[in-house]
Amino acid sequence: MGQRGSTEVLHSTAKSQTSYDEERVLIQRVKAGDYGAFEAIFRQHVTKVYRQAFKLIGNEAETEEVVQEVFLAVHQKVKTFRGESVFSTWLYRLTTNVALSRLRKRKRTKEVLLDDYLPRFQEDGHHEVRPVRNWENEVDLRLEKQELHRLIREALEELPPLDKAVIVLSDLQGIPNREIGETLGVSIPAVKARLHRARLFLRGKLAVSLGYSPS
Amino acid sequence: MVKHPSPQRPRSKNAKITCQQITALILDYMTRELDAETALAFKAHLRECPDCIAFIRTYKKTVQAAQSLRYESIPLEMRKRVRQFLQERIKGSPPNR
Repeated sequence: MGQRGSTEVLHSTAKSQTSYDEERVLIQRVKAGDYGAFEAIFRQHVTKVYRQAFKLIGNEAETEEVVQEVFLAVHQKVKTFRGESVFSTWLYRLTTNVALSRLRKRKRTKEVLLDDYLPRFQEDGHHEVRPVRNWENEVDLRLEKQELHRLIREALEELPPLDKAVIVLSDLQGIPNREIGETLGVSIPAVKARLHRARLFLRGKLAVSLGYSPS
Repeated sequence: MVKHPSPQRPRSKNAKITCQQITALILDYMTRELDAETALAFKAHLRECPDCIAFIRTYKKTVQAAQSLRYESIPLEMRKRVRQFLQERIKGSPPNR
């Protein structure tokens, strides 16, 4: 699977040197206390910040609070931005961490046992339920796109916060594992383990919704 | 710590791997990060195991489904509210319309 860097994904790929220079000047102006420059940064990035926050948070009301918090933090912390990374990368890391912090404070209303949707195996290492059904083509035949998306979104909501952040950043944002690890403060093997587990869980939920065993 | 199914690599090129090990290695297989010996054992297993082929196809379909999610832009009213909130918090006054 192709992995796209956040810089590529979140910036237009053909962003010119001029616009980088303009952004650098804009950030210098924000650092100097120019509120108009801050508003320009807000206008440029608010939609992407909103989308990223919404993917992690899953509802509008809390996403709005996260967007507010992110831009307040931008205003307060922009002086710490040294330009070592692209500004958008810094901003979207900030967004991830604000959203993740909120997810961790949430009381989990529904305790879902992840293991119930993960594959099981016999002692000799074979799949527990055989034959394994290939329902790949049934997804599009039996589920309307909206229904499929609803199922995936609901399954995402049931994941533990860090697993959810990993799969959102990887599969929904296309960010490479190394960058995800740096953003979330976890090792690359840990990113991969959480990503795999989250995908297996989503797969299990889809299998069950189609009437099959997760195994 | 996340419990990860133990993806024990085959010790020799003749070693076979189980369906459980295949499942644990799918992610590295998809990103072509398996070492050559493990990749050979992985492919050899798939030639003989329709269960694992079905499992991998449904795993990939799941990833595609997640990647196909689409998200709306920020609603205009929310954008206005956030802008107003920021101006009040930072400058202490509502924004000029």
